[in-house]
Amino acid sequence: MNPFADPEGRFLVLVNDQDQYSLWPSRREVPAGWQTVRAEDSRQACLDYVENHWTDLRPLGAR
Amino acid sequence: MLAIQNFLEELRLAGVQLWLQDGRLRYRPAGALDRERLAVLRERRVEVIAAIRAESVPVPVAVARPDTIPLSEHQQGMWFLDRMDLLGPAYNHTALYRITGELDVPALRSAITEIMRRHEILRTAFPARDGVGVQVVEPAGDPRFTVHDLSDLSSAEQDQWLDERKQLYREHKFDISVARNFGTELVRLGPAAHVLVFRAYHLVIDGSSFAILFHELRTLYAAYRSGAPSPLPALTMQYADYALWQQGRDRAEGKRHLDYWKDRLAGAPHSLDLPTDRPRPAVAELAGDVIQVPVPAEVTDGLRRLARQQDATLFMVLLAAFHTLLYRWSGQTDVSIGMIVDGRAHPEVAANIGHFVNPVVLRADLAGRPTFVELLGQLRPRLFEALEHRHVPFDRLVAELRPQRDLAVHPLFQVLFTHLVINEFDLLDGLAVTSIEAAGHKAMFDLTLSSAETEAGELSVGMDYQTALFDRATLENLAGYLVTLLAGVVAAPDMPIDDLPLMSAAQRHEVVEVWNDTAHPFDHGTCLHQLIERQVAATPDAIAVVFDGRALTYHELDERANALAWRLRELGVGPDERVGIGLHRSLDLLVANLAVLKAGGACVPIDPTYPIARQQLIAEDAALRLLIRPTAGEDAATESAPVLAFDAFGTPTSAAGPANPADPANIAWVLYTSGSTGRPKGVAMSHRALHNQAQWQRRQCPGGRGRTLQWAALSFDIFYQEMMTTLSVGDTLVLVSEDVRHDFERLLDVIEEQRIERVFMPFVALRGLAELAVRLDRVPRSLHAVVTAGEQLQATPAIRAFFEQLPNCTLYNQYGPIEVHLATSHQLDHNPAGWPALPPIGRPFDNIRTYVLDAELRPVPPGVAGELFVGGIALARGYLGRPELTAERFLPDPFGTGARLYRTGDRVRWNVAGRLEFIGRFDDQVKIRGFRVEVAEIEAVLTGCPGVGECAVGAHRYGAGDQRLIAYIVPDSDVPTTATELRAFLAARLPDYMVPAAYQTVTELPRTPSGKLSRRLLPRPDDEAEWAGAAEYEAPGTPLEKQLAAIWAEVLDVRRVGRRDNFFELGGHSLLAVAVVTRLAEVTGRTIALRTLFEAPTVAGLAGRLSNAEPR
Repeated sequence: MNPFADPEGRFLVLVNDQDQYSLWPSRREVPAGWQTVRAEDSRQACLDYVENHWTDLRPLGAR
Repeated sequence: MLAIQNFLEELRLAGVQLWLQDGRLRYRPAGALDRERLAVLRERRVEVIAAIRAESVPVPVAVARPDTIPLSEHQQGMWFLDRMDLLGPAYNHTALYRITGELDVPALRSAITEIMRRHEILRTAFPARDGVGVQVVEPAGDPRFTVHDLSDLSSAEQDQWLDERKQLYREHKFDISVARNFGTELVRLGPAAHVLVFRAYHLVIDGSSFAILFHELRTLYAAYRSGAPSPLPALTMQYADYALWQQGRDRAEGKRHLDYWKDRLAGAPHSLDLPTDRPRPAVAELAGDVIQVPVPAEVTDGLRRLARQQDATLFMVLLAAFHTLLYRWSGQTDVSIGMIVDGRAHPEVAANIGHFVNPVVLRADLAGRPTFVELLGQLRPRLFEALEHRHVPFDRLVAELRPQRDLAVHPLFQVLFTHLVINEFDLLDGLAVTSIEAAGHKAMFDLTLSSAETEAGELSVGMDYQTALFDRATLENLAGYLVTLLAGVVAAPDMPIDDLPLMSAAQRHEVVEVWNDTAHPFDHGTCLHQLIERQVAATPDAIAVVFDGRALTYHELDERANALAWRLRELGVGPDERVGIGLHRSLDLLVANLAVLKAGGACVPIDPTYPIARQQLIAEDAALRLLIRPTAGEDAATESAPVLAFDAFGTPTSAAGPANPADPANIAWVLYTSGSTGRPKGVAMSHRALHNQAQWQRRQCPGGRGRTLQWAALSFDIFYQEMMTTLSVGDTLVLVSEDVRHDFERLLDVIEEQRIERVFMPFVALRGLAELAVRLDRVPRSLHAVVTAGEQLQATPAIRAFFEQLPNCTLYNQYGPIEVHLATSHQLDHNPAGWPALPPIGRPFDNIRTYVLDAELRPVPPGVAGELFVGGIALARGYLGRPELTAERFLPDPFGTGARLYRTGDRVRWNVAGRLEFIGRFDDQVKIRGFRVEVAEIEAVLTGCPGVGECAVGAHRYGAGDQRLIAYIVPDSDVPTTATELRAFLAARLPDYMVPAAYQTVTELPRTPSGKLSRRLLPRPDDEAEWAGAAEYEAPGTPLEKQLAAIWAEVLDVRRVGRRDNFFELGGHSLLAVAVVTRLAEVTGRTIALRTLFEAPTVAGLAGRLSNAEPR
């Protein structure tokens, strides 16, 4: 199964320099150019974090 | 320590018989044991002898012959299939050998005569007696030895004769009811050149039989040449005795074995879905080919070492590696591999020729990232169990587990593993013997993986495949992956099998970098409307848009859009502000779209043909700044945003528009697509991504420009592709009304009248248009480019015929979900006859990267299916107002720095040439007439309908690739809601393509073991299903009504059609309407216009129209 579709998976929340957020499976290396803003947690907890913190979907360049 | 019992079983599996004779260990066939096995036998001789003595297997003994000799268990299934004429010549065995030197023909003939005498099975007939197959042995004496003397012919004539003869061997149909199932031919080419041919039917022979045959031939020929008698020991049992012994065995024991398999194979997938190069034929085609690759010596040594460390054998390690390869290739975690086991378990029959083989199935569970060593640990006991229970006849097992025979796939397993014992027949008393390839290699399975060891210990692997399914290049790649995988296993046996390498570093570089080398200069500073404005300046008087007899030049379009843009600015529209466009196809529609862009805003098309509830939902979700509607729009029920009534022809013009307030990073459109969480989601796309696409499209030849038909639905991304790629190059966009869009006959009129050069159409529509144009002999000569996207293109006969007649027209197959709009393109060549049935979707275009990744987000090799991820200047910003949805689909790019990839959910693979091929979906998303549908969204709406308890929606194929939605309902009251009510409920809330055609009441929904709904297990609707269009049944009355009802039933693939039933509510649509008109012409010889069916969509109505039109 795709790790992003796994409801039981463990994830991080990452952010790039355009202030775009994304989930990332915690057992994989964090890709270059992304910072971890939320430590490993359940999928739902990470999605909730994104919903609460990513309030402006515009990339920084378009704000 | 290697368990001795396991070792013995493994030897049996490899076709080696081991027994005690006068207290000494004997084995057969000669040379079957490699050094490793011989060493084990020598070291642990005492234990081996003890184990053989301790075996309590009942020993077969010859008993008195009754009148009727039954078939053996191995023969029964095959006999039955032969009687049913399901086998054909597939089971012919032909072996040809060139013998160089002075052959002693009388000695050869005597040797064959003796072999025929020794083995009754070679002169046995298999007639039916009371409907049951029996064995009838004919007396010995006739060696069935034919000599063909070709020594008078030239070498070329001899070759031709042999080729024709080989063809005959291949196609010959043995008549099993007579004893002609084995024969020998000797072809004399010259005094010292012969070809020896053995022809046999599989009922009397198997692979190991040939080793016995060669051994006896060699021995007898040498003896007879020197005048000595046969030195061969007499056989203690004949095949018939063996069959009788089998018949008398303990029944309870048989049931225990059968139960093992029923339990072991319960719930196994119907088939292993290997990613084939071509669609699977309805009946398996057995033409085959084979490739063979060596395994490097250091890898082979490492595999042997690993086997020893793990108390396993090389055979088991290879088996585990094959399971891993098939899992990684197919993505399927439940993998069954077949193995042919030799039934000669007993020394009493070890020297017998005959059909003793039986397949067993080794099923492995590869889920949960097991390490290779763990997989080996899982397979080892399975292997021994399989051997313990190997005597269940395979056909009996099939009858128990898969009573419905599917002629397309081999039952229970499609891939076979064989470990070859090399029995070269290379010398006949000093004469050189070389094998000759028989004609037409046959592959009995999709794929047969084989391993072979030479006496020197060199290992090679072979892949035998059906050429109907696979290309040679695909298998060559696969063999390469296997070798890399085996090296990986040696290097890291404790690595999860998901992480083992398949690609070499060079292959990985090619897939990740070379095939994604798409960088192309791009002007980052321009917005979409500025592209059109440049064209306005360049060709102000050219015609930009045509609709219904009216037209706008570029200059007129621009001036009207400028005026509206000023007005929008006044009303507060600016960058990223959404403006709804609720207009029908019209010139106003183009003016409004351009104006919204000029005002810096984003267009949100709201298709006025959608139900009001759907329009409102979109308007609310998009938080529109305002909604543009036609002045005359009286159905303006949408009040969630201020409404701006608009009529371009009643509005003043303006020479200049407002200064551009937008940046290319701002969004240009928001398009709504079906959402799996139960409500639609808006995809927000930037100017930059669309500009990149338009710039690339412009460079295509001939698809880069042309007078273009606007056919796409208004809410499709393709609408913007049509608009931008036409208006940014100064060409003309031709609009048609909604009615004409669906009436392909009138559409053909427009294409001809307007001299249309380019169309964009999803596959189903293209097919409909092509079918009609070909049938009416009205293929539009003006076309020079057809671009198809939205769903898998199929090169149907009509589409091929269409393009055969248009040699100057190019077909492009493009791919892109709305989230990236467009990612790849494939330009088909001008040889439609040579197109694959499922053409590729091509490669990424300018500044776009595509990755095919496995579940661990690593690139998969060409030929291996994975999920498609798209990166580069194509990605949407995300889902409007849905950060959580965006964050799980738009992901960090592990191959870049700070960039994102879109996870498509599409299952694809690279082909050998670096083109992507679409395979299917990873989830429940379906395409209905090119529209993307999440069935969960329909379920969410349907759950809200009174009377519905639980529900599920599935998609099933009907007729020629037509996909239809079926709803399954568990009612929550005793008075179930009718299909008509359910349909009406949904039709008021969802676009028509999301409204199911049939409604089936069920008592419960299928669930997975974990309790989740299993849409895969939703049945095809049965006779109880209610087709929503079905009125109270009223039988067709007149002959014409009966004919019409029959045609509808056939086209729609429904059981019964009444005279009041509505074609479109029964699941029909405009494309199927073409089929009705075609069939009607064929059956009744009467031609009707397509629109007649739209105007009179019931059987009675249409029959009435036809009768009235009848000349009297």
